[in-house]
Amino acid sequence: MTNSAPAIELKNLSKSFGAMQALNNLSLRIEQGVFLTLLGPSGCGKSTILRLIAGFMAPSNGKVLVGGHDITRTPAHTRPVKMVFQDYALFPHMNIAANIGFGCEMLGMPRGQIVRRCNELLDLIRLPDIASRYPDELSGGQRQRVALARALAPDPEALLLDEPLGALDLRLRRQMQQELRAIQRTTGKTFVFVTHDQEEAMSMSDTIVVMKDGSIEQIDSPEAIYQRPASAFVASFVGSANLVPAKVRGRDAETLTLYLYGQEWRVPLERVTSPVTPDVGDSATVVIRPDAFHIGIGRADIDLQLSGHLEERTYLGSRQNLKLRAADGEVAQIELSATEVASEGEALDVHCNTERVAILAGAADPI
Amino acid sequence: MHLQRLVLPTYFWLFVLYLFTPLMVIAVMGFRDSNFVAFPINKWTTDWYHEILFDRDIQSSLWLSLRIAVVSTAISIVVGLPTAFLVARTKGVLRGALISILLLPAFLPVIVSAISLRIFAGKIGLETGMLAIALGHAVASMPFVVIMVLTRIDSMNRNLVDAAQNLGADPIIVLTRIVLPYLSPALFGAFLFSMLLSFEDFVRSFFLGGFDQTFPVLLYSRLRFGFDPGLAAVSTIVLIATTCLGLFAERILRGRRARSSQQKKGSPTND
Amino acid sequence: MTRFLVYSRRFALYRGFNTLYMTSPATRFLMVALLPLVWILLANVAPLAQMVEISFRDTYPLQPGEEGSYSLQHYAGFFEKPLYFRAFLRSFVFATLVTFATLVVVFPVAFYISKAAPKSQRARLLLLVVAPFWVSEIIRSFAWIVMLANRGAVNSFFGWFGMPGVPYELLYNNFSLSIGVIYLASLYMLLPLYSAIERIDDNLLEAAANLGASTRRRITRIILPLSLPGIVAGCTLVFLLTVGLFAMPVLLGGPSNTLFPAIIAQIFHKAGASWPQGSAYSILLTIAALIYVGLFIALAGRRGRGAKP
Repeated sequence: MTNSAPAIELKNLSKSFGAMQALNNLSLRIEQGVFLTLLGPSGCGKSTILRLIAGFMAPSNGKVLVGGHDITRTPAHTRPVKMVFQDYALFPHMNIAANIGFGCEMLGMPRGQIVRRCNELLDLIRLPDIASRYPDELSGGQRQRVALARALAPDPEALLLDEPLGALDLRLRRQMQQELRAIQRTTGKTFVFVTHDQEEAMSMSDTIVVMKDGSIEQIDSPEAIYQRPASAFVASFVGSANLVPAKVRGRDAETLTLYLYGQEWRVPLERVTSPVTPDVGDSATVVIRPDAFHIGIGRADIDLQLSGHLEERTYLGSRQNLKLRAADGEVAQIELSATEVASEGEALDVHCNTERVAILAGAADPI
Repeated sequence: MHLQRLVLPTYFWLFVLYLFTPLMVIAVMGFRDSNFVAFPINKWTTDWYHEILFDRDIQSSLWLSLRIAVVSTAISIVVGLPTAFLVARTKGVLRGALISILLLPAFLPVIVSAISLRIFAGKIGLETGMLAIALGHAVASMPFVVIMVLTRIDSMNRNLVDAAQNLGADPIIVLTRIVLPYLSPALFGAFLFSMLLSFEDFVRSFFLGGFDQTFPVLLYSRLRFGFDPGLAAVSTIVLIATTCLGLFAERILRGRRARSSQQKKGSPTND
Repeated sequence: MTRFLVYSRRFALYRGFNTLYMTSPATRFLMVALLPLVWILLANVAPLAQMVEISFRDTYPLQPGEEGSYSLQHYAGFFEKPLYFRAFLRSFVFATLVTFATLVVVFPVAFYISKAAPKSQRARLLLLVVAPFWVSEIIRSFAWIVMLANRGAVNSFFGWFGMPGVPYELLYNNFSLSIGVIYLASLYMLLPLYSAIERIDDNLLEAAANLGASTRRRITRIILPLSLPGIVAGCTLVFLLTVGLFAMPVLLGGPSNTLFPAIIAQIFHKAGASWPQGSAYSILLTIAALIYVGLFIALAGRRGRGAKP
């Protein structure tokens, strides 16, 4: 195995179930030692990718490579990638040691070595005393960690994790996220993690792949996904965002002039994050994160300025939704950070900096 | 509210009396010191319970019934297991059709099933006797074996098979290390159930039997042509044995089922 | 075990099985399905088909060199022989009456175990009632012979009380047969009834009581309609069991009112030449029983739907 080869590579992968197209000509390189997350709503094909890599099903088209070797036709039980299942799938009739040792046993490892490997992993997941217990005697969190240890035991090329934290409650989930990340760093393994929870994806990943309808919408670091979404879908799926429809009124070498909220606004061209830059006369969508809006008067020359009468305020925890009626009667719905103070029935000024917005070509589909 | 508090419990216990009195009476009859089955019992003896075990005909009929039970159970499990796998992987209309054909022997009038098997045995040149009876019993118990195993397969988490495969288990290891251990309570229950069905069957043994009589057939002919308290004694022994086995099978099928469903839900508790 | 299996990987047979299994979905299907399909064909389908075929033959088994000929004579003959036809009708009437009687006898028991008894006791009570399930038909017949004979337990009990006219003729008539068959069939009725009634939501009963329904109305308006699937399943099972019963009617029933299965057995046990006749009568019994049960299920289904509004 050469170091330059990606841990996993998918080439033009397609999979259909009858008339349903689960994956549509999808290609992806996953570098060695990376924590990569496949993020998307249910039914977007992210679990299908894992099952294709693991070999539980065959692709309709395309190739799967692990460590540079084509394994598309290799039977599932000889593939060097191991999986952590959402329901853990621990063998109920075997104790924890037997569960963790199963993979090594299948490799024909001598018994003493299996026991040593098993103890190593029990230490790694910080549950050294449960070797002789049975899965139904463990708590959800413990089972989750055992499932992880079982998959790590045969020293796989990569680990596939199919929503492994989905069954845990919120507090335990946060704790396991950190632990999982720490284990990934210590072992240096490639993790391919599937989730529909964008916060989870944000907090754990080196790279996030946002998926929709069997295709990749964007591949990027968590920061870039949040700040420079490539599409309205990504913008609204990852974090909350105001998606403001706009028209392009002018364009020069460095700026776009947009028309939104009944006014013109000049924004640097580098804020365009969609693959295509909109031209004069095109419609566009301005993505404004709640934390980009501030109450008060901004700098008149560069900031977007909204003024009006606050008709309604809905408190959303960390955010709030304001319904602002301008003097000309136009209504703007904006979402901003809850730390900014506003009260219903008063006049209100809100501004937004050009640095904190993203411009997308085209009108946003309602989601 | 008298209905709930008084009438229903009384009725229930009368029904229990109806169920158990005849069995008690037959057990008691085995202690009568006389050559005739009759009441009242004035002299008591335990001789019948001793002697009956040395009656050659009864001994050999019990032995034959037991051997037939073992053979027919072996057949119905060896065939029933793949049949359950087959049904489990079939879907939709095909599954319904398959199940109906499988259950057919359980819904046919017993006498019709027995006669059709007798004719068929003649057609393929299978002589009446032990093997014919064992095959006939296997036909009869197959539906129950398949349904028991199928229920267990349907409750199995399919990810277990994927997980084992993923960890390097080839088909044979998946079968022997994962699937069969998971199915073992159902298989054991089906084993006992099939043994009991075979051991107690009368009609099929009656039509498919040769010169040697199984225990129920022997009992039947003695009931028609003369019997003594000894027959009551041996019946008592058999009914106690089968009831214990039956309750044991019930417990295995029930107890493990509860445990597995608990495991399947896997209530996520916090540590 | 696994060590052995992992070791045996190097053998051709083991590898051959695995390779074959993984070759394609078709071979995988074949490996699983071959034995079951052969069995189903030989054990479930062929004997019945064979019986149908034989029922149209004039004679069977054939003598060496004899050419078989086909006709409907055995079916036609059935309707011309009042002895057989009457036994056939008697069987259906008897099975219907016994099924109904079993329902009436067992329903309160099922209701008591599943709803009325204290919750903590229900499992134990069910076990108690299910326990005699494993006693065979012949031993049960024997038990009732001992109970009902002229010098049996019941007559002895009555005599002890000085009842006049003891012994009563209790055995070898329709009374003893009915008692025995209900005894045999009650569990086939109990289990479906129990699971159907148990499934009825307690809240429904409380809601009905809350709306002012008396106990009787709660039973007739809520429990009965909602346990209909259990009633249908139980009656179907009991009917099919009873209509094909052979040994118990011979042992407990009277000599004058033979039931149809005994007739079939009689015909069958005569010379080989009457196998076709026995087959024809078996098929008549099967088809009539299935149609009868089918009609019952359809009728009950319509009733069940009609009762809802």
